[in-house]
Amino acid sequence: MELFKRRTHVDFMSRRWIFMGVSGLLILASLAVFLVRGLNYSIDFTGGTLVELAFSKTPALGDVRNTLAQAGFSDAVVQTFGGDRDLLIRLRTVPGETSAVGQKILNVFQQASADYPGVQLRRTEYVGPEVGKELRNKGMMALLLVTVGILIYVGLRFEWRFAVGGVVAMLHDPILVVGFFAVTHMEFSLTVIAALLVIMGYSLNDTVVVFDRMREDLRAERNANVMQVFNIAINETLSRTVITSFITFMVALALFLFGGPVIHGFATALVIGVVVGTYSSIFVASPVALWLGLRREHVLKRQFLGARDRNDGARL
Amino acid sequence: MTRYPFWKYLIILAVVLPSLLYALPNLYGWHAAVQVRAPVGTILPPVATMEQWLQSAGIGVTRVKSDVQGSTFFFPNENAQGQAETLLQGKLPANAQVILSQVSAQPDWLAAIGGKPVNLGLDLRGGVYLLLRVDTGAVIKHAMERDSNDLRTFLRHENLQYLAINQTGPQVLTVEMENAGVAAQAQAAITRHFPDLSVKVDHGAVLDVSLQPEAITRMTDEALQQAIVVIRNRIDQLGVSEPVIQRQGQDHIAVQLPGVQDTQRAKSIIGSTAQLEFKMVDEQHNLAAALKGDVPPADAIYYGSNGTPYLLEKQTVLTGRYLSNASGGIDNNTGQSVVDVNFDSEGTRIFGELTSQHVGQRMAILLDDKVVTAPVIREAITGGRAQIDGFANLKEASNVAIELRAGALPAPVNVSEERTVGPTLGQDSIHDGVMAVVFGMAFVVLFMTFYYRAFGLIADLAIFVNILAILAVLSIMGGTLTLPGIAGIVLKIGLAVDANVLVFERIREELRLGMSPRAAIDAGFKKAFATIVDSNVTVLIASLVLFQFGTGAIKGFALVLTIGVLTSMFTATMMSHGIIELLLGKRRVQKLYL
Repeated sequence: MELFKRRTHVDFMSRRWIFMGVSGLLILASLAVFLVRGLNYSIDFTGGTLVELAFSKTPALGDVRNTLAQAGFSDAVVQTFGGDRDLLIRLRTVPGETSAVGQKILNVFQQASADYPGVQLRRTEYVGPEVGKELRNKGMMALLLVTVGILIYVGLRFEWRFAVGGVVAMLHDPILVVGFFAVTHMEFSLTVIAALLVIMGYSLNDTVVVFDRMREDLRAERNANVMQVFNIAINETLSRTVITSFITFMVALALFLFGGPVIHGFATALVIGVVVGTYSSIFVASPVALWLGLRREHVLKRQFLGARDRNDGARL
Repeated sequence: MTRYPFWKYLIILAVVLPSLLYALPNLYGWHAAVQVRAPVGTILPPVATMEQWLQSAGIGVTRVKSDVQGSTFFFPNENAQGQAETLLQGKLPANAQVILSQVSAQPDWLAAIGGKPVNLGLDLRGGVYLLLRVDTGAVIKHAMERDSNDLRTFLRHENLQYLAINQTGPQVLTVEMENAGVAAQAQAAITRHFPDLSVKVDHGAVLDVSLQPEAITRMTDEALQQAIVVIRNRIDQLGVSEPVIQRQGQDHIAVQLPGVQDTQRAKSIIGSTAQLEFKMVDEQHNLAAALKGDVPPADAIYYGSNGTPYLLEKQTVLTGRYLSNASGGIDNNTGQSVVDVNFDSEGTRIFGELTSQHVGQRMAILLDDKVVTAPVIREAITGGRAQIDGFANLKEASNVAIELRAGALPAPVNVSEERTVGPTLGQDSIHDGVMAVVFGMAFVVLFMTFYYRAFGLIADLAIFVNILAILAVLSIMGGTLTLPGIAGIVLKIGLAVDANVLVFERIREELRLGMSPRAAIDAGFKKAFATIVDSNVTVLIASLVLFQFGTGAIKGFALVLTIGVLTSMFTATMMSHGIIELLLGKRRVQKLYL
């Protein structure tokens, strides 16, 4: 089967200002929500205690909160997790509090066993306040390093205007995903950071394929101007972009639907990331490169330096 | 036969066959087993006797294996395994280790060529992860206290008159000398005799003595290494199979205990300092007066676990360092829970002298600065054995015995991160992960076959080999598969076909331009290759950074992604190309099933 029997001729570039405007607005909105509303950081970053309990029958949240309050945990946040028989209980760290809190909470429910028969400990997590800060720094450091690493690689392999375009598109994606997490207040954990890094890699992977083709076509299609060549290259790679994105989207969806509650945040970030990553490689990366004034000579010059056929460059 | 060079097929075989072979152990599953080991000097009953015990208790043993380290008993199920553990623990001497373990059910020939199944992470197996912070400040503080004592003795011995020695900062001692002249002499003498100390003249006759930075680093390092040894000893006593204990950064130790469910016990045994000290009770002075604030200079007030105050001499007369063994038990006469300790030869001598000099007086036994008991010495004890009572129950006594046997920690440790995963959650996570792999893979396989027909099947084969290669590399490297790692495999299935898609789309393009099928295939693979490398390197950069910065489960994800990127570049290009050429042979091709 072939979706694209004939080569498509969509004029992406002439509408580039619309897309850049939309992206710019989305980025601003994401940053604004992030700054105003903030993220719902998991205990990985804030420090604190998390206890997941499994009950044999659906417990009433109000009763659970009362039981906890009577035991002195009135600030506990209780929510269902996965199915409605699993509860997640979260506590912020109080200075001087140790990791024993998780066990204490389990004991509270075990002692009230008449109300909660067969309560089971699924997991406990305790993160000390200083570790939380360290993990947050590590996460930021990792994001920074990936950005720098990719900037260097793309800068070496492509002309700098391409490199900047690619990196702008690459940063565009995690910002929008962070915006999504700020709007929905879904939990932002370490695994979400891992997902952000993968999204950055994926986004650039997609962009590089398009850029590669642009570079090739800039050399081959001498009768078209840069904007036309960009359109040609995007159209030529369009079937690949659509198919790969569709497949990646579907496997991310498989993770989202079947991967279970533990990696739910991770899968959510991936699903959104695949969509915006695909969008940005067409509608952000190339317009930025064009905007920076990319011309044919910029690409040919490199070829020219190593080219045996000097006429190749002189035919301009 | 084919146009594709023979040596490339050799490379393909050289990658594919080992991948199949080393992924194979993962198919066999695990045997439930119990290992029995004993430290040197402890004699275990013969293996046949132990087997006899198990059989007469109705616990079926499927296989027994013995080697220099001890014996391993295999059981048909986990139920029998648990019963066997309880039974053996009850019958064997206290310091024998009875370890629940899982042994791969792979055939011996696979084990012989180094095959092993992949390790499952704590999030899949269940267990405890602890990040402990060693209080290195306490190590330095102890060193400073020791140094201030040593300095007093030294200055007195050298006839250098000092007025006062005070600790004025966490790492600074202020030494006030009689006059500036003596201070200068003292500076020279101290510098000569204490290489770890640096001495500066503060003003006039006052010297600032501090620890050299290298000395601090060395002491911290030593403390951490010692702490790791002690923690490892204690974990061995707990009977955990395959524990991981690693130093992390400046002052952290990461501990992974797969399969451990009683986290409270594990934590208290690992975390308690277990500093055993013997101090004399000061019966010359009045405890009531001391409690009001009139504490004699050589004394200090200590408390028992129930809050009882004791007036003790500051000086420690004996420590847990001189123990050779300790075991918990019940005293036959009193019915109390006790810990029996044996001293080594040096400890026996010191203890003998002490007890003979202080008959009729009380000696306090302290564990981590808390008085456990303070019995009256009735007679000189020269046999090197003593009994400590005052424990709440047998369990507490046994735990203390374990800690004493393993030695004291050089400094207190605090839990700064703890993650526990119960066995039910681990099982569910495995189930969820497998479901995601199955559905993700099923979709990709069907889609590729539908969209690229025969070529799609080749891509499917490439994905399959790719997953096997990831498993094989993970197994051989001793890497750990975590839930995010499984997610990495699912994601990799999607990303890996990208390379195939690039090639196939390129081939179709060339065909549309009117190229012959053969030429189109060659051009497709050739032109797509640079793009495949470029686009994979970006993912590789992200996954390498993730591997560097990630902890635990996320590291597992990064590892899978890194291996997957490398293997998929091979399966999608060289392997796929090879298979296509093999199928087409040398015939003339009119039409491609693409």
